[in-house]
Amino acid sequence: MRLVLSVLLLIILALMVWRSALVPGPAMAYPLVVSLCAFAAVLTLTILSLRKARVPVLSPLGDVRPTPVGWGRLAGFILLWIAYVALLDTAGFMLATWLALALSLALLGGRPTVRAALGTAVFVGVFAVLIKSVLYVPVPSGWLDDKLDFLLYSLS
Amino acid sequence: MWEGILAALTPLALVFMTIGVVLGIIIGAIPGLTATFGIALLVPVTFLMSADHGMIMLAGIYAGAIYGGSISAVLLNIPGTPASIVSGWEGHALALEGKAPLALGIAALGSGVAGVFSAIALMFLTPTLAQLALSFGAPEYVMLVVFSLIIVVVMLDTPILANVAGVFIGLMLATVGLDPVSGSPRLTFGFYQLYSGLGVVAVLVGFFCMPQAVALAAEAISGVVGVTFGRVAASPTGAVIRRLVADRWLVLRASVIGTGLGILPAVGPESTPLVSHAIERRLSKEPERFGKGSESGLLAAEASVSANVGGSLIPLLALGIPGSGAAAVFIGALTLHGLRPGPLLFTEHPDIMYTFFAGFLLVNILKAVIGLFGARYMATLLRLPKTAIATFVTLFSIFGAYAVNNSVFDIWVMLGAAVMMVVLGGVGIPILPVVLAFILGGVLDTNIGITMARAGDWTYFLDRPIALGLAAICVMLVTVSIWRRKRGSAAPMAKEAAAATESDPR
Repeated sequence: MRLVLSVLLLIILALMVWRSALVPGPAMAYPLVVSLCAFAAVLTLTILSLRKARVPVLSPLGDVRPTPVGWGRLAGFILLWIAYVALLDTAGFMLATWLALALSLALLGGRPTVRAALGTAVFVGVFAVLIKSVLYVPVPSGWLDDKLDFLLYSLS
Repeated sequence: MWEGILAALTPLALVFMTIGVVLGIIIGAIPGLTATFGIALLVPVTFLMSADHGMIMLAGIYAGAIYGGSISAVLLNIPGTPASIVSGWEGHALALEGKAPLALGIAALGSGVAGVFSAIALMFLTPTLAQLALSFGAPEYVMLVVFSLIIVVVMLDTPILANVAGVFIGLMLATVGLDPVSGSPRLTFGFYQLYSGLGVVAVLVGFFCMPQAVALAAEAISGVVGVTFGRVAASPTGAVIRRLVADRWLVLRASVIGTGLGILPAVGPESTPLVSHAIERRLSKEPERFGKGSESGLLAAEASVSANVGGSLIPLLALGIPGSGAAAVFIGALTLHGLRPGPLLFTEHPDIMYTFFAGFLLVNILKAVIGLFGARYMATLLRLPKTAIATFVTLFSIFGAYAVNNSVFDIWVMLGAAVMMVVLGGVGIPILPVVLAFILGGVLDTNIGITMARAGDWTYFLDRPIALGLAAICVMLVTVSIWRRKRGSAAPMAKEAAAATESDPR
């Protein structure tokens, strides 16, 4: 796994070196030197780790080792939130957020519950009102968001 | 100065201070959530406040979270933050003896008193350091940044090459955007959204919050649950104060150690309590109690880690160099409010600075009071299901990345940073050098350009004694570090050779 990640990182860094070399004029020097140094350091680190040098892996999961099914659910959790970001512009903030929250809780909890679906719906409603009337953050708008905007405008 | 202190005492400032401390303690008490995470997550929220209120609230979160970690450490022996490991050794042993209220009280009051010490140090050392930094030109800034990065490289426990790789990756990420001199786009891959560089908040949320959310999700899926515990009684205030008075010199020493180590860029609150605990164990009349439920050991750990918070803010505000990962995230908040961390803060916004200093002092007093009387109630938060924490942390991370520029592109930047964090961890590259280099990269880039334009030849540097001095210290640091690491690796080899000779008498 370490080798795969090292190769992936080296490819990204090689891409950065190549793009730095395309910068016109003297502005090329600094990013080129920095990205070349980064590439060289990671390459040396990879070679050393292949020679069994002690370079510890710093896993964000720590000691937690999910089962194969658990890995599948974790991958589902990550994909769900990526899909949420992709859906935000088309579905709007309220609908996308409610779906993401309810599905995320169902995925991590092991089963969907009515309580979670209702609870997240109430949370999203309150959060959306807070965003629109207190925080003033212009979140991506969909059908539900437009209805809420209209309601808040009518009330004010 | 007095106006600043009075501004920190306004009702609104006190409200934000209280919210910050309470939120910080809650974040710190939940295992897996750190002070850096809390600050990164809530930086966008401060956009709605004035700069001084926003900074005070973030200081409350920083100080509160560092203390909050000791609640789960004492009650469950699960450090809420990495800084509470020593508190777990001593505090949980005391809790097993039936002294959990006393341990929570000692942690709260020790943390508060040392925090006040570091706030006073922050108030008096920062302007002095900033005054000195006003005489700095571009070469001095170049050397200061190089010095900070070298300290990070040589002082972290991870392999030196991994630290070096982290520094260069961070510097590379900081070059994304327009060239500061010519205005040419660099490493933008055709995205106009990257012309102003990678969003600091988006990248930091990606580094610190999203991977944490995935880790919590993995724990939830794997069925890792918190240990349940009964009702916690109120802290015995009299006994806590008596302990503090008896160990007053210990608290002073721990505060000085914490503040001093906090000023160094690589020494965050994680390693400080270990140093202070080891020193106090050596000085103690009961060293055998240390590690087995020593009230003095707990006090030393909590006082030093709390003082580290103020210490880490000194170089940040005076020089623009963060003293820890959490302090690095503070820069995101400052830039969000149009403030440039560094000596000019004191000439351009002295009112904000002195309000912040006074606010930070009050934050520490508030932390002690809330901790002393409210820690037992906050302990109930340890029962929150990880399923809900992971889900809502993810949502707020995404919202936080979006809210700064109202840009979905920033969410993708944040997710990219989270993937980068996982890849770097898998390769063995620590995140702290990457973050510090990313934060300081812009300063280095700009000042290298200015230095190159001004310096006709090498004699230009002979007129810059501060830059030359810093360069000499850098060379010395690198030499000493290489020598120590070589000696460290040579010792086991010598032992192996000796053992081989003994086993083979020929």
